[in-house]
Amino acid sequence: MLGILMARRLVAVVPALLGVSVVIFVMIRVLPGDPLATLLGAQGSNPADRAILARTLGFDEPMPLQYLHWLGRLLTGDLGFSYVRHYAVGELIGAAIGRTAVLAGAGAVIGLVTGIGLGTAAAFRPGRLLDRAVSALAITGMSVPSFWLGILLIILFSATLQWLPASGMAELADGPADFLAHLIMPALANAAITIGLTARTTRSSLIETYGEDFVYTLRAKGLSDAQILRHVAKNAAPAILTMIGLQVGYLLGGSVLVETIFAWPGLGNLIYTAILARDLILIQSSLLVIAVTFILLNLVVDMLQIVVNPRVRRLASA
Amino acid sequence: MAVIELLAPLEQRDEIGAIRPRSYYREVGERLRGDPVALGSLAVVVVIFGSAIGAPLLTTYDPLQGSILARLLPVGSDSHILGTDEQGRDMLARLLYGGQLSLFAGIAPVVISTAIGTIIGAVAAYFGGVVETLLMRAMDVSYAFPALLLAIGIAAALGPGLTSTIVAITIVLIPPVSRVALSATRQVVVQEYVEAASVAGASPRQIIQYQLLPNIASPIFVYTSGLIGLAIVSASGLSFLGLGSAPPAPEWGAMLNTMRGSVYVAPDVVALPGLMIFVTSVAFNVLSDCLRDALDVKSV
Amino acid sequence: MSNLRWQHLLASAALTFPVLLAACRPAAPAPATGGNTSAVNAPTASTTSAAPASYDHVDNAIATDRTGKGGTLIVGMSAGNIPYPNTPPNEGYEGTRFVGNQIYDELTPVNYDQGDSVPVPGPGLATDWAVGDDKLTWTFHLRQGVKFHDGTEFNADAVVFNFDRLLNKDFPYFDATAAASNGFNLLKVDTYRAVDPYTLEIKTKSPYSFLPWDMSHMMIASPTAVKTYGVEEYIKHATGTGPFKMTKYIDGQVMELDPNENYWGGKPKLDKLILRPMPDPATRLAALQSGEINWAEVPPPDSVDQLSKQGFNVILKQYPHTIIFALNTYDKPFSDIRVRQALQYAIDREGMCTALLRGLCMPASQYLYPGHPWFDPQLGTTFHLDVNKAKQLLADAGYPNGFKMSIAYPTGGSGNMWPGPMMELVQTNFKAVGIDLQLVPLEWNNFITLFIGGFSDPANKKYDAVYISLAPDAPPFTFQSFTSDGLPPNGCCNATGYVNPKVDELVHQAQNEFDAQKQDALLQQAQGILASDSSFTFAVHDLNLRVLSQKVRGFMPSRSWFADLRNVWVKP
Repeated sequence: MLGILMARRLVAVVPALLGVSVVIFVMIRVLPGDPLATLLGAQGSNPADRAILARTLGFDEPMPLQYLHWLGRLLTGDLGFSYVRHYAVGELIGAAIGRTAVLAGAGAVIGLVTGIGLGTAAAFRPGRLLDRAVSALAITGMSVPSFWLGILLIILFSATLQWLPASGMAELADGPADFLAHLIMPALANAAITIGLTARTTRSSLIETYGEDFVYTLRAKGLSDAQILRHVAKNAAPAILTMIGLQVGYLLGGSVLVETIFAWPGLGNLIYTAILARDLILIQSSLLVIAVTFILLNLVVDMLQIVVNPRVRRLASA
Repeated sequence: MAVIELLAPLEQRDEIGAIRPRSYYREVGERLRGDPVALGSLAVVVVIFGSAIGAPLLTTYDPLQGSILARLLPVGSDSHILGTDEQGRDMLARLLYGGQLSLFAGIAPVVISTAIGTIIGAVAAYFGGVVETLLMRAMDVSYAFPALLLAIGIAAALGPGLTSTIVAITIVLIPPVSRVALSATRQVVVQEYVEAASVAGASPRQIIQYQLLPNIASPIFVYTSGLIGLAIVSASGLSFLGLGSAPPAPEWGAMLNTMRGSVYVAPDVVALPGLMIFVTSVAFNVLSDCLRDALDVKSV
Repeated sequence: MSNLRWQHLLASAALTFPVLLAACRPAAPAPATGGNTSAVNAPTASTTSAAPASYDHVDNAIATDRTGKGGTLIVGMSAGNIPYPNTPPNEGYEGTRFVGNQIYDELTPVNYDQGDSVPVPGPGLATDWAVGDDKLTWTFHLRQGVKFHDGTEFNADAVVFNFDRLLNKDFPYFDATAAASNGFNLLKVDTYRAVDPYTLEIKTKSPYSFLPWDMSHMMIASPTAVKTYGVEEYIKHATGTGPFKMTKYIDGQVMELDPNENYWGGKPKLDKLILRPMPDPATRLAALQSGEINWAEVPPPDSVDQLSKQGFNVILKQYPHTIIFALNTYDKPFSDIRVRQALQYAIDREGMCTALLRGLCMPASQYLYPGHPWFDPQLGTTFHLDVNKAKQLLADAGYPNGFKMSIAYPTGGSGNMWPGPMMELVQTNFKAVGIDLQLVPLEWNNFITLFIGGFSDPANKKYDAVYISLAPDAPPFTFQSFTSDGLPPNGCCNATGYVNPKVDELVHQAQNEFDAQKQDALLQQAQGILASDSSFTFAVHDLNLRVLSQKVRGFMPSRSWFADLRNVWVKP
């Protein structure tokens, strides 16, 4: 039963992917400006050279043909070659996604752990001091512009205190201390919104669940606080899980601003500079990779919901 | 209107002791009035709006012109209470006039996307079936992308400018609004009064307009008012990346961008636009929360 | 405590931010008020004979310090990414400076170690060269005993291989992108062949005395490496004959280079050269201050005073780099020379350079600067701020109340100086003479499309002018920008549409003239007429700002866009 549900969800993904690929392809062909201009540079070149370049890159073919060629290469695992960066797109994305994953992972760990912790603490004593403080902090986290927070962190920790390096990423292989020093500020800037949203959702979800009838039943039965918490957590889990899925998605792709400020060579940065340079091949494939990641992520979250939440299971099979 | 009276939860006794219906919205108003946090955030919002609209009255400085001899003066200077920017323009003036741009860039997309998203969601839920699948799958396409990247792509495609920012954020906000509208409409559409109206011969358009929309108004309103803060931050984010209003427009995000080079030399002045974005966003978010509590609607 | 109290606390905390941050403001002197500038920036009396007040700022003791060796130089580039090491690299001249010229050599490179004279092509991989009586056949004698980093021999066949790679579409190792970027350098080359292992013969399409200039841009890559790795993978194993060998290259992050022990020009003193991309100026500044890098390209102008006080080595040097506005001369109002000249008198260049940019530029009145052989001393510095003259010219041309115009400028790209703030100042200047200047920021790609297309392209007519940062000493590109040879669509890059038969004639004569002094005289004349015709509005000359840690010694900046790093070493 479960297997069929999951399979059905999996199959529904395919048309979504196809639709997304068409949208991506069309959208970036709409970008104004000559896609070869950056490659040719300000010192320019003569029209004959431009024609040769256009032919090499396949830009002189009709659109539908270009799309089909691209799709065909994708299916064989070839993401294309970026002439602007002179690197295979697959390599660029692979490296960048790894780096964004590190940043997103750190942001997720900080954000989710702090958020869930704060939210849980607040839920225990609703209306009291801690709760108010957490609520205020949550709203602050949600409202702060990440790029501004990044700038403030750099002012404080790099320029004034000179404790941390202002930008860039250090490889783990070059030493964990250096690695962490470069990681902590961007991760914090990224995590602010996550802390806010997660704390709120955890808090409200827990409070709501605590207020449900079954908790009274459990208390009447004489269960201890800890045991009740386990039951409550299981019931509150779905909402929190959805939130986690959303946040990881946000952290993965929405980190363009933080990556720009901290010169973190991740996926957001890659796509943003690709858009500016009209690196069509790179933009296409990167957006598709992101789309696939998101769709898969949503799929995983949905699957987890089906497993964890009997109500969803019932609804889904209805 | 018939619908609102049907919703009236409480009643008051009139002169002869019969029960008089009391407006739902009156009740909401009273709840808000009693909540100091709501009042506080409302006050902040009003102040921000008021100062933006009343900018010409509050300052005599020209936000677009300055003397380069008076660049980057610190906060608390004699003639410039909030300092000056990198071209010598008065910061207070720029923040006030910038408020007009930033607020507009934040609120316009929310308003437009609410209108469009609600219609899409309501229509989809009412007709169901193929219509719903088509509309919602179209919305799903945008869920495959991180919102900010999508906005950047759209803004880049349209060329930098205030219009592009607004269009980009509107497009990004329509799908979530439509989802909220969809699920709210689903709950309303099974109510008896809708069935009654349909039996009485109302056309789909009339049902949508008179039965559905007013009843989904409050969850949608709560949701979209919560989007304003996000929209303002996103609009300033796009400006920060250079995709928003052209200089010398004093849009807050754009100001953070142009002053970024001076961040170590004049951090107090550089931090100001970001502070405005932050405070505005907090105020709207808090207000939206209080509205939700007052309207007693669970998040959809 | 009620929720309201917490909101109050939060709000007051937020509002105290600016006050706290004011405390973080570094204790530098107040920004220039009343025209007073710090010691770094004030023009000093000239030490060379011909030039007036010199805008250079070079600590000669540090620049000529050859007493040590070793150390690691870590450069924070303004480029958004590591320039990929092809021939040439991308990321514009910054790529050439830090990657191209370090990994590769050219036949006749310009000497970048010269202190005060303008660099010209000299011996490199070619030891001497001469043109035959037909004025078309050049014979280059190549340096013997030079090896590529992979150990293979450098000889005439290697050079021919490189030519084929860039010019011969049917060559199996033809590199389309490198070919496109070398388009200008090889424009005049007709045939090329190896006469013997160390003699190369090049025939030009017409008499062209600037061939050594063109050859100074053509980098020679190892044929063995290209053949082994193929066109697409080659750059990961970029191999040349240059002073540095690439040892590590991670796209987006870092490039590391080690000195070439067997370099024919002498082994560089450094132990290691590391390049990092840091497109955000504020970040570059922070990195320099914290010691993460010891060489920062173009830190924010406002930080220069502070850096100087903190003991960093601020380097400024005049060189041929001019910021101009290219005007649409096809249509009104700029088809009228009076209107064009009015613009020249409307810009407050002094204000821009002293107050806005804190001494980091010098006013430009022609394409080149006083002291450069192509600066026309007769026209001199005629174009300077004169609001009344500007208004008069506008009135004479029929615009007593001014007019509206728009200018496009790039928001990205390195070497552009600071278009945003500079254009905002110009906006103010123009307003004073009645011109309403609308600013249109364009991203780099759109900007280049506009420039290459030129104003003859109807799509570009919505702009009246373009802000461009140009190297006025890079033939043939330079010449193309103001002669009929460069008119689109067949040529590039005469965006303005300006053509003056006299200028064309002078430039062609110069290309036909093989005596350097006579060449200079002809070009001087041409530049004078160009300046006077004002199809380019001359704004300012850049001064090649970079800031180094005091521990970096031995770097003598040259009067060019490029840098010689062989004598650089870092004190421990």
